[in-house]
Amino acid sequence: MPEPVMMLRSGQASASAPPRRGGFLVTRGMLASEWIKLRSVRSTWLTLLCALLFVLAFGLFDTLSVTESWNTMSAADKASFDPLAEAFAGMQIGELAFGVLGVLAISVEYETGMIQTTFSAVPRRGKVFAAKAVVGGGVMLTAGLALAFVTFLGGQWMLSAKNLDVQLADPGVLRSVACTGLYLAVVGLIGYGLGALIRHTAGAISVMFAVIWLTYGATHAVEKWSYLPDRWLLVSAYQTLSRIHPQSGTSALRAPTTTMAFVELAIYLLVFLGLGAWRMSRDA
Amino acid sequence: MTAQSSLPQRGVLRSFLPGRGVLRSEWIKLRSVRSTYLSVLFATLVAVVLGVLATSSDASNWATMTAQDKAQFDPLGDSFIGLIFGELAFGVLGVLAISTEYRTGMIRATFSAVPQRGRVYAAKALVVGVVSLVLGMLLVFGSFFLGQAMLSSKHLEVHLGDPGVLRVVLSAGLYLFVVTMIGFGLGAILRHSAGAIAALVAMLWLAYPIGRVLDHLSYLPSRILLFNIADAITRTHAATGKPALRIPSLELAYSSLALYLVVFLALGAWRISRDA
Repeated sequence: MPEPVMMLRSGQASASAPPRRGGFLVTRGMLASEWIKLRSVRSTWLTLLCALLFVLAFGLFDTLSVTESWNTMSAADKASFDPLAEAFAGMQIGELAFGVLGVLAISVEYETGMIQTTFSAVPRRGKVFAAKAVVGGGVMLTAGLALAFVTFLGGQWMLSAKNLDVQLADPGVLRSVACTGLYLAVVGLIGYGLGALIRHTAGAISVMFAVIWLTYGATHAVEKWSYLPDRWLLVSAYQTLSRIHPQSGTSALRAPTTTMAFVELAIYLLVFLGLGAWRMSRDA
Repeated sequence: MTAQSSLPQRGVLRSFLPGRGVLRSEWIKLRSVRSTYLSVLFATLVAVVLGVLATSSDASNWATMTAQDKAQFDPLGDSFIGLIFGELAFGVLGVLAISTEYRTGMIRATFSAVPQRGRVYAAKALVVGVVSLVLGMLLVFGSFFLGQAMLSSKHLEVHLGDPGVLRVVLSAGLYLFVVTMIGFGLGAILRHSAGAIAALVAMLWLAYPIGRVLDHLSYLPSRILLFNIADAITRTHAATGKPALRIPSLELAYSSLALYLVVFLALGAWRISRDA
């Protein structure tokens, strides 16, 4: 028994005495263990598969509905047609799946008690949090980018029948597709931060969903005073980053500039990861 | 199980009749859990605060609003703007009422006490249903009266006696109840909180692409989406333009709401009577 005690003691000592240095630095072993935990759970792959199926199916069917009805569409409808928006019509389901994946990556450990084993192996909580964030973030960014590019290619392939397609090299297109992948990873990491903060699957998923999709209710409530809260919604940031044609009318008032949209994503990420890291370094 | 299967026909109905003891135990389980209070409290706070914010912003900006904005002004819609958070919280409450028992293993104790699964399911459904109906009605009437009080400073308010108003307020409460029961059914079908909540919110808010995809063939799929049903039964002004095509008639809205209720409760009942 003396060994683990000493381990704990040295862990505590180095966490408090030498100021902070390396508090969040992770080793290869920790990354490997987090990777094993993530990939050996059925729900990880089930969630990603659900995301892929729904996003692709919705995107392709929505694109199909445009190509089918293109000849009879009104001039106004044609003018507001965004060749990316149709293929990405089901992306919200993908976002939901990524957010849930992020929540589960941590909340399940608290629910099953696995977190005690994890902390026995690595007493430095900051490192555990960082290792999980790196592995989860890496997986979600890779999967998100793959999902975005596959959906994009599928949608453009269908649009090419009516010569409505755009190429990756066209202005803004590569950015839109890449930002869609990035946005999926950001949503996943927000879920992860909330999972660490709340430690309950149901609560964290509900709050994640409310923060991302239902906050428009709150911002619309104050719209007659100011459109600023609208511009700070995650969904508005994504609208700005994912569209190649700027929006018009009220939607334009709710959209932040491109720079602001990137800043907002960074701030959301920082706030939620920060909250998660803060809570995790408290008592388990 | 053997006794139940040897009783022909008559046992089927009887196996869903919960006794007073079963009802009481389900009531204790529901009210003794912190998350029940947390989700209801959260729903109430956010819904009421947002409704008050929206209606007071209407009242204070009324003088400077454009004619178009004034024409679109909906005194009920703005007091109910926060109810989406209420729907989320009530739906999650419904899911948790049953999924938690599977996660913690409590369901075994429940089934040991009452081996007839149909009775357990019916008792749970009854308790969750009554609680959500009562709390839902309190929430919508509270939001309604507070919102109208805010609007009354500019004489923009409507009264319960005005045409259609009472029906809309009651329908909003009814909708909260149905959402709760859909969550309850999903919880029984999937037995996992995460999966059931994700499925619920996807159905409630993210399903509109399914309808849009099929719009050029028929508007019926759009019209039976929960989102559009809720719109139909809670609006007092008729919608215009393309969205109007997606909104069902009142008859269709109420009957598809009933259909949702029956289908999800039945699927849950079917699943719970399989092996635990």
